[in-house]
Amino acid sequence: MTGHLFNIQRFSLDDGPGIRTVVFLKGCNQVCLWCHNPESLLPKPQVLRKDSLCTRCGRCEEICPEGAISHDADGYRTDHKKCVRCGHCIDLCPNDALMLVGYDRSVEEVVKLVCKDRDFYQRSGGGVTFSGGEPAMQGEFLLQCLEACRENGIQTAIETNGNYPLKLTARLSPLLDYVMVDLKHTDDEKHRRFTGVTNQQTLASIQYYLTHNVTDLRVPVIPTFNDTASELQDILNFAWENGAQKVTLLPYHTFGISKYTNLSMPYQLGNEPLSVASVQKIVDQLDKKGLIVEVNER
Amino acid sequence: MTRTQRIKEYIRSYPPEICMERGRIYTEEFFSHPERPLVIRRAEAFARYLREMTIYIGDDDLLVGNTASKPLAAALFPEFAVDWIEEELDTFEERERQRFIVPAELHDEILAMCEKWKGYTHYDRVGYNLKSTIGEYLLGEQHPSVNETMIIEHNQNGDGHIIPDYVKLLDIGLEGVIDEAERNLALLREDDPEYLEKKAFLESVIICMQGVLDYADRLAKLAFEKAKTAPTAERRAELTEIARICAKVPRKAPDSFYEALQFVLFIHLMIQIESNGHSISMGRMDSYLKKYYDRDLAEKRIDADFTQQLCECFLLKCFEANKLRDWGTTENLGGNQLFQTITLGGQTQDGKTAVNDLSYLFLEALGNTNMNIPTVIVSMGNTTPLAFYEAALRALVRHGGGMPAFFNDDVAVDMMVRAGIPLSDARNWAGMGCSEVRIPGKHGTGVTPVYVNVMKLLELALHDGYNPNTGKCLCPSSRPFSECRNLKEVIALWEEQLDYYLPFIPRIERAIAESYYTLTPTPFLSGVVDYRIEMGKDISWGRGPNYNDTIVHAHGYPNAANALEALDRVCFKDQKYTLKEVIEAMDENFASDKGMAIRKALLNAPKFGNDDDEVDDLCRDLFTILPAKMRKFTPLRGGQFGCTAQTVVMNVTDGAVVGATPDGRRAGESLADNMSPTPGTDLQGITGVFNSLSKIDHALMDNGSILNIRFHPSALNSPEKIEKIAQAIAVYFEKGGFQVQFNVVGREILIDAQQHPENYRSLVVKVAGFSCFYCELEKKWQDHLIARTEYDAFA
Repeated sequence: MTGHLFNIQRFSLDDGPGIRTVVFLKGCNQVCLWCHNPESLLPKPQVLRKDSLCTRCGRCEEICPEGAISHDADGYRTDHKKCVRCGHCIDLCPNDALMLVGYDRSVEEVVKLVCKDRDFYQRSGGGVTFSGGEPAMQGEFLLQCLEACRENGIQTAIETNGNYPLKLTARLSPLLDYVMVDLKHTDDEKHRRFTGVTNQQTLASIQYYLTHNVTDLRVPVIPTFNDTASELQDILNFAWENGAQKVTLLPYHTFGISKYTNLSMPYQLGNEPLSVASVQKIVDQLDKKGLIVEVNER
Repeated sequence: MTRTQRIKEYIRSYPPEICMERGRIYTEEFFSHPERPLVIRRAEAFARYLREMTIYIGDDDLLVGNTASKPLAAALFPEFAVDWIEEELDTFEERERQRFIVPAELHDEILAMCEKWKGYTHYDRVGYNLKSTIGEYLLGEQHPSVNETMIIEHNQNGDGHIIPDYVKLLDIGLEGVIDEAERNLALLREDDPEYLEKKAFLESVIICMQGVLDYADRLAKLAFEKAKTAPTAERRAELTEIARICAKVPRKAPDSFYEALQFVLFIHLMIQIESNGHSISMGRMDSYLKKYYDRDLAEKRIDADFTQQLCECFLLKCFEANKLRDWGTTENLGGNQLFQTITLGGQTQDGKTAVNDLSYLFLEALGNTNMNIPTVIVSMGNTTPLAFYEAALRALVRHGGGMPAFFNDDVAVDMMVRAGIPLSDARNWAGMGCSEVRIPGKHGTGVTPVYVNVMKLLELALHDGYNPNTGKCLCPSSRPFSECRNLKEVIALWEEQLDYYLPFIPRIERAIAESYYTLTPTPFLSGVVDYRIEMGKDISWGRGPNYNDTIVHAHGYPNAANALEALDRVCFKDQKYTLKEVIEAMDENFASDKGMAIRKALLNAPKFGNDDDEVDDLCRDLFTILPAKMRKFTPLRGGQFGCTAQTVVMNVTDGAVVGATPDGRRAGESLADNMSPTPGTDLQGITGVFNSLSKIDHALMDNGSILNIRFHPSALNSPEKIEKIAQAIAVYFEKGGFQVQFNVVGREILIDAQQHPENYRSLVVKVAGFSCFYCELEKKWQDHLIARTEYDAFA
């Protein structure tokens, strides 16, 4: 069985305990307006242009057989609907500014690569983390990968939005040593407005993971979405009531914006990034119950 | 301001300038007594310089000694070469960096000195030797090469590359050395055919040692004089202590840590006065100074703070010594590096960890002084505690400029044992220069005759033996490259070129080594290493019981592996293009549409550094070929040729003479540095790089290899991350990696990366909590990172 990936990052120090390999699966079932990995949203491969390397020579536009490449004052863009991923532009770009993001890999290939750093995991208490996109979008592939990693003695973790049926959550849960799940908002209407989907499945998954797995709840703190004291308090209340021990707040940043340009995609949020200090200030006003609340640059 | 900060400011307040004293005295002694044996004249010059040179003590100095009349001033060494001094004299002040002031009143004297030495220098002798042996093959003047395949190193340098036997010296003091020389002198038999020669040598050792004792006495007097007018009672006490110590060491064996450190500093500086060869290293300071420190602690004579302060003074004293080189070399070396290397950690003779309190204090001192000189390395083996890794990483973060470098103790010991050295000696190895593994006191000096350009040799093989730049073909291939049917046949063509060109190395080494022995013997150095006094022979003679190992730099393996792998993939396995098409594309530097497409296909082949078994194994195999071939030759000094894959910075020079290559590299572009992956091609993270490097049998190259990795400071900004990286290095070493050094990326690099993103494609930065490629970041955010990096690095 094969899955759609957009990256495998080895030697990650931030995505769970120890030294980890992060397998990024391509495709997501939400469109969060602040997403910093826009290349993860669509399941199929896309041509990405590293704008900082592009010299605007016009070669790609000239030779595209589908006429999918055009330009304006801001640079070149690719129409992903017209693009058939023939690779001509990539081959002929004199500055190596173009690349294809996304590829398919079999379970065996993924696990083989993951196993290459086994010595490093063992020494540091690390392992594999499946991230995305939303890794559970490719549920069967993910389950097979997790099983195979477990069979190979590799510790497993997931970074997930929890937005899938409880049945899948229940199948994933016993295969996971560590869960990082987003708790974005407790209010359904607002959740829909900023992510495009209801939060009902997410909340149910979170409840399930909290009772079955070592779970770290993560809250991206986004201006106009959930950055008020009352909204964050609601989130902490939900976490506390459902047995969480720790919540990690991740202040909004805009480091992903250039990727939108590189992918010829629009970026809809216009806010300035939040600092750790400013989020910490809000947190200081909150009733944390017995929770450990951390604010991380992430 | 701390004392360290004050000393740093004081040193830097001196603009580097040229100091005439050494050049003047050496010239007089050399030419005024032509009847005397040369070694005696050199010893007299050395001793007279030490008796007459300007000496000084800085207002905050706790350790004293100097190589020239002012901090950062450079003495002249006319006996090695004068042509370049004469030629560049008017440009020393005009250089864009590494500028040296030439005091106006010295200008004519320097020119006259140069004039006098012409024809008498090491440079002239080597030139003669080379011309008389391989003259017809030489290309170029000051940095000649053999058809661009190897650059010959013979210009203005002394030999260098050695670590004295500090354990023995600290035990017996220089009086003990003088005793030893006198004993051997008394034992000399007049019927020994080398009687006169040995007598002159032993006498010269004694003359040198006496000179050093006189020098220490002078400093003791100066300190005492200064104490009388010291501004504070505290400083008076310090100066009185300095005076007491200099009156005692290096004459006698030291009794305290402070005395021992001053002792080591004297010897270290004196070696660099006698000859300007670089990579004079100090060996395992934390090991051989431990007993003095322990004794002081037990007798409550010293505390950790003062000990660390002394260590910092020591490091800064090494920085204070400067060297003038020709512009070409200066540019190549990226500065005035003297490659003085201190080794910390390692193991004891019975195989236990040698890490002790001093090891940690030295690391603290390194982080505190934060200078690019001297070099500090840590030797890490399977007995080294993880805490020492973490301390080294913390020092690295505070230092910010790549120190300490990490070396695998177990591989180094294996390297030495496989070179025929007994285990007890092997365990006492220390780092020298960049990555060389040496036994202090027992290894002789290591001439570096050549820098072999492995990629150039591959280029010749791909062009049927012709050098496309010069049109010269010294070794026509036995068959045309375009008719090769598989990779093995291509490698066979490369080996043909190796077999033709490598025999030049012993011929070149002979030309250089003969000159060092004949014209620039080093009796002082010979007296501070093992065996030479008993032998009655200068260290530059080589041979004897010393381990003799001549260093051969041969580099370009990552590129060569990538190039061969790409040919294999594109031409033999996938048969996408023919060899002929690839050669044509290379010859037009991948300029046409077809050339560009061919280049992309070549670029898409697996690259070394990504944990891909196929190309990694290829690199591993290529790595074994040259050392095996070099084993067949014996250097003039005996011992063997020990290879190193270390490039210093020759990867730039090497790349400049190589046209486009099948790894997708365009003509003239730099090669990968050392054994690091080609920049921008390592896309599997650090573990991928570590795994690739671990597949190589590093012990094959006695003089080591280097892996450079760049970190953004934020990758090391928490104790948890430091622990994880320490664990990663420990695993890398368990798997057989030899060396790794990290650059915690500073501001300048980020700015340069912004302007030249093509050179920094694999620069990974932690922008917030997530990693990304720096060059893919929007300019605004690059600016943001530039603005805050220094804060990250030095907070």
